[in-house]
Amino acid sequence: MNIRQAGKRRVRAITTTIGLASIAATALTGAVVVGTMQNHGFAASSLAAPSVQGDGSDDQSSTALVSPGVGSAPQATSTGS
Amino acid sequence: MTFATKNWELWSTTAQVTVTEPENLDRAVAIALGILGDIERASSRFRSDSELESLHGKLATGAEVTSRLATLVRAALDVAALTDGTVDPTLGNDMVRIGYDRDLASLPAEATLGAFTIVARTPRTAGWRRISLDGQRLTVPNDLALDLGATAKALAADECARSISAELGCGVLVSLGGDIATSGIAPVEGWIVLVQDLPSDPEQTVTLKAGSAIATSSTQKRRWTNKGRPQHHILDPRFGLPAEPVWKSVTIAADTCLTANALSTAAIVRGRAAIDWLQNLGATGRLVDQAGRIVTVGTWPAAPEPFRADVD
Repeated sequence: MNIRQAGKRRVRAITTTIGLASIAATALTGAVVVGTMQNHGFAASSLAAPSVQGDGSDDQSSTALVSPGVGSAPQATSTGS
Repeated sequence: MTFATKNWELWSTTAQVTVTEPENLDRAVAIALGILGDIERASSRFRSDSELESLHGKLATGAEVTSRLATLVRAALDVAALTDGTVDPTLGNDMVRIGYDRDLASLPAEATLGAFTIVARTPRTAGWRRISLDGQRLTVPNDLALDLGATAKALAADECARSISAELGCGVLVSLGGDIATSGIAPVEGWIVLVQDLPSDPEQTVTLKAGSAIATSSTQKRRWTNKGRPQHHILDPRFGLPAEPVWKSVTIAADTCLTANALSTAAIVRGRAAIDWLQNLGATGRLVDQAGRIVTVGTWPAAPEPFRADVD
C-alpha cells in the first residue's frame, strides 16, 4: 500500500466508520475483550484486505504482508527507536 | 539459503544490512553508507553543516534546495497528508522547546521508565500546510522549523533496500533502528522478524513478505528528562508536546517503510482512536497498550497460544 492508495482506500472505507468505531470502543472498554480483532469476528474484511494484489485465491499467505513466523531464528527485530 | 548481516551504530540507534548473498555484504553496506550519509548531510538537525541547518532563516521567502532535501520534504508532506497532519514535519521548534536539541546520547537520560504526565497544553496551529515545495523551491515561514526525523529514517531504509537490490541483484533487508525495508528475493524461510519493543514487552515472530516493510513506533524509546519531566520524541502536533502514551508501541506492515512508519507514528499520536483509523485505512498492524495487551488490525497474524505445561 503506498500513500496515495491508502488515501483512496480511506475514502472508500468511510461508510463503515460507525460500525468500526463501535467495535473499537467495545474492544477498548470491555473487561476482557482487548485482544486481536480476529478474535472478535472482525477478520480480513474488505477494509482489511491485503494491500498486495493476489491471484484471487483464498490463500492469504501468498498475499499478506506478514504471516506467522516459522521456526527459523529472526533475522531482524522491529522495535521502536 | 544463506545470508550475511552487518550491524553498526547510527543516529543513536542500530543500523543493519542483511543480504541473501554473503559475498555482496561489503558492497551492500557501502551503498547504504553512501545513501545514509547523503540523507544526514541534507536533513540533520544536529549537524551545523547540514543543508537544513544552513538554510536556517533563509526559507521564509523561498530557496532552492538540493534534490535530496526536496525528496525528503516531499515525503514528509505526503505523510502529513496521509495522516491528516498527525505526523507533522514542522515540529522542529517544539522539539527544541522540550529539550531535544542535540543527539539523543547527549541528553539527560530518564532514570527509570516512569509515569508520564501531561501537564499543560496549548493548541497549536498546524504547520505543514503553511510550507510549500514547488519543484526544489522550499518555503518555510520563519516561525516554523523542519524536523524530518520521523520520515527521513524510514525513507532511508526504503532507498537503501531498493538501491542495494537493484545494484547487486540480491535480496536485502535494511533495518534502521527497527524500521525495516526489504527488496528483492527473500531467503527460503522468508524474512523472519521479531516484533518486540522492550525485552519485557510481549513478543511475536512474523514472516515479512519479500519486498515489503515493517516499522515500530514507541513511547518507551528515545526518552529523556527536561526540566525534571520525562519526555519522548513523538509529538502531538496539536500541542507540540509528547503524545499521551496510550500505546507502548505500534507496529505496522506496509509496502514501504515510509508508509509503515507514517501509520505507526500517527497511531501513537491518535491514541485509542488509532484502531478505528487504521482499520479504515486497511492497514495491517499490532498495537501494545500500557498493560501489555495486544490489539491487531487488518491481516496481522494472531499470535500462537503460549505453551502451557499440564499442571493437573
